[in-house]
Amino acid sequence: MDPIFTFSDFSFGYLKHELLFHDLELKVNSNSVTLIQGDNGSGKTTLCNLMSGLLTRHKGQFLLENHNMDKLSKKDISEKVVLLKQNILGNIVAATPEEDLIIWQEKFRRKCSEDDNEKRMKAFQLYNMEEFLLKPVWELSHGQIKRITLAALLLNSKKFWILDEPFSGLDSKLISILENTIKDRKNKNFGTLIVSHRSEFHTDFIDEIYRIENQGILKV
Amino acid sequence: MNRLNLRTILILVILVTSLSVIYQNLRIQLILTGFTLFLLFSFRISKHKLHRLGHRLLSLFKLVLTILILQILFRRSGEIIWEYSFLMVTTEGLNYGLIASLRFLIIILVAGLLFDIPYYDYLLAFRSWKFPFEISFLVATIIHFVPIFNTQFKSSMEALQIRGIIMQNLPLLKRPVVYLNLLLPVLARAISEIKFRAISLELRGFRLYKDKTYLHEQKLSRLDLIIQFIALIFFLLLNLIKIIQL
Ligand SMILES: Nc1ncnc2c1ncn2[C@@H]1O[C@H](COP(=O)(O)OP(=O)(O)OP(=O)(O)O)[C@@H](O)[C@H]1O
Ligand SMILES: [Mg+2]
Repeated sequence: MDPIFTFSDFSFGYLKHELLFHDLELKVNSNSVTLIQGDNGSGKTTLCNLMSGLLTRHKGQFLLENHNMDKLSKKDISEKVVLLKQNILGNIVAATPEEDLIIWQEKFRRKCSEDDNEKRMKAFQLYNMEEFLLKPVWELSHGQIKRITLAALLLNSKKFWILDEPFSGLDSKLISILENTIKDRKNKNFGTLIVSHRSEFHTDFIDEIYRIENQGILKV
Repeated sequence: MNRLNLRTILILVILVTSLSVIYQNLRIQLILTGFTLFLLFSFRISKHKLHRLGHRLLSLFKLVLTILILQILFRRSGEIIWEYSFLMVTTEGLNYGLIASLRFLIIILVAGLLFDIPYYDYLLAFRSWKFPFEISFLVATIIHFVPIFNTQFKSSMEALQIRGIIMQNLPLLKRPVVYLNLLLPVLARAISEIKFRAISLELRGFRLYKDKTYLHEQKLSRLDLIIQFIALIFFLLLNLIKIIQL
C-alpha cells in the first residue's frame, strides 16, 4: 500500500502561539477509503485544506507521494487530489450547474470536446440534475447545490478524493449513490478520504478510521 | 484608549482624510500618516488583527509603489535630480509622488480601521448624530458588505485553485475573463441574500414605528469630548492658515 499523504512530526496553527496540530503522525493510503472523525472545531476542515494546498506554512514533514508539500506547485497538487469543501457554495464558481462543470473541464484554456460533453451529461444523469442544469445557483436548494459538486467529482475520477462532510444534507438515495461511487473507485484502486464529525456510519466500505484528539490523530 | 467612542474615531477619520486631500504638502502628509498609524495602534490591540492589517498593506504595497513611480516619472517641472534619455526625476515629481502614495496609504489604513468595527456600533453612532435610521442602516450595511464580499471572492479563488486553474499561469488576456466569470455569480449571490434580508427585516416590523429603541447606549466620555473639540479646532485652524496663504 502506497501512502498518498505522510505526516510526521507535523505541526500547524493559525496563530503562532496556538497550535491546532502538534507532533501529528499519519499515513493516508492512496487506494483505500479512510475516515477521519473529530468534534466540531477539532481541525478536520483545516486538515483537508492543508492536504489540498489551500493552507501552507506547516512545520515538520508533510509529503504528497514522496514529494515535499512545500516544494509542489498549486497545479501539481491539483493534479493529484481534489477537495470537496464543507462550505458547499465555496465549491462553485459559475452561475449555473452546466457552466460550473464546463469550467472544470475547460479550465479557461481549451474548448470541450464531444467526449467531454458526454462525460458531463453522464455525471448529471447519475445525480438526476437534468431539470435544473440551467438554473442559477442562488435559486437552488442546498441538496441540489451539493449534487453539482458531487457531479464535478465524477469528472476527476483519477484523482484522490478528499471529501469534507460529504454526506451532510443528502437524502438517503443520494447517500447510497455516493457510497456506491466510492466503493467503485476503491475497486479500481482509487482512494478516498472522508471527513465527518458523526461517529455512527455505514462502515462496510471504510478501511481505516482515525480520530482527531488532543492536537494529534489516533487510529480507532 | 480602546474605549474611544466610535463617533470620536469617525470625526478624526473624516478630518484626517479631508486634510490629506486638501494639503499638497509632504510634511503634513507625513504627520497625518503618523497620526493614522497612532490611531490604529491605540485602537486595535489584538495581535491577530494587526497581523491581518500587515498582510493587507503588503498586498497593496505594489499598488502604492506603482503610483509613486508613475508620479515621479511623469512630473516634469522642478529641479532635475536624475536624467536618462526620456526618463527624468525632478524634485517636484518626487514630492508629488510621495504625497500621492502617502495619501493612498492613509486611505488604506483608515479603511482597515473602519471595516473592523462591529456593525451595531455604527448604528448607535449614527443615531446619536440624529441620522434617520434608514440612512444609517444603509451606510452600515454597505460598510459591512465589503468584507463579506471579500471572503466570498476569496472562496471562489480557492475553488479555482482546487480545479487547477492558477491565475498566475493563465495568459494575461484570459485573466479579466476569469475575474468576470467569478464576479457575476458572487455579486448575484450577494444580492439574492440581501433580498432575504429585506424580507426578514419586514417580518420584524422594520419601520413600523417611528422611534427605534436600542439595548445599548454609546456615551461620550470626557476624553471623547476633549479629543473631538481639539480635533475640530485644529482642523479649522489649519484651514484658516490655508485660506490666508491663498
Ligand atoms: N482562518 C482561520 N483563522 C483562524 N482560526 C481558524 C481559521 N479557520 C478555522 N480556525 C479555527 O481552527 C479550529 C479548527 O477549525 P476547523 O474548521 O478545521 O474545524 P472542523 O473540525 O472542521 O469543525 P466542524 O466540525 O465544525 O466543521 C477552530 O477552532 C477554528 O475556530
Ligand atoms: Mg469543518
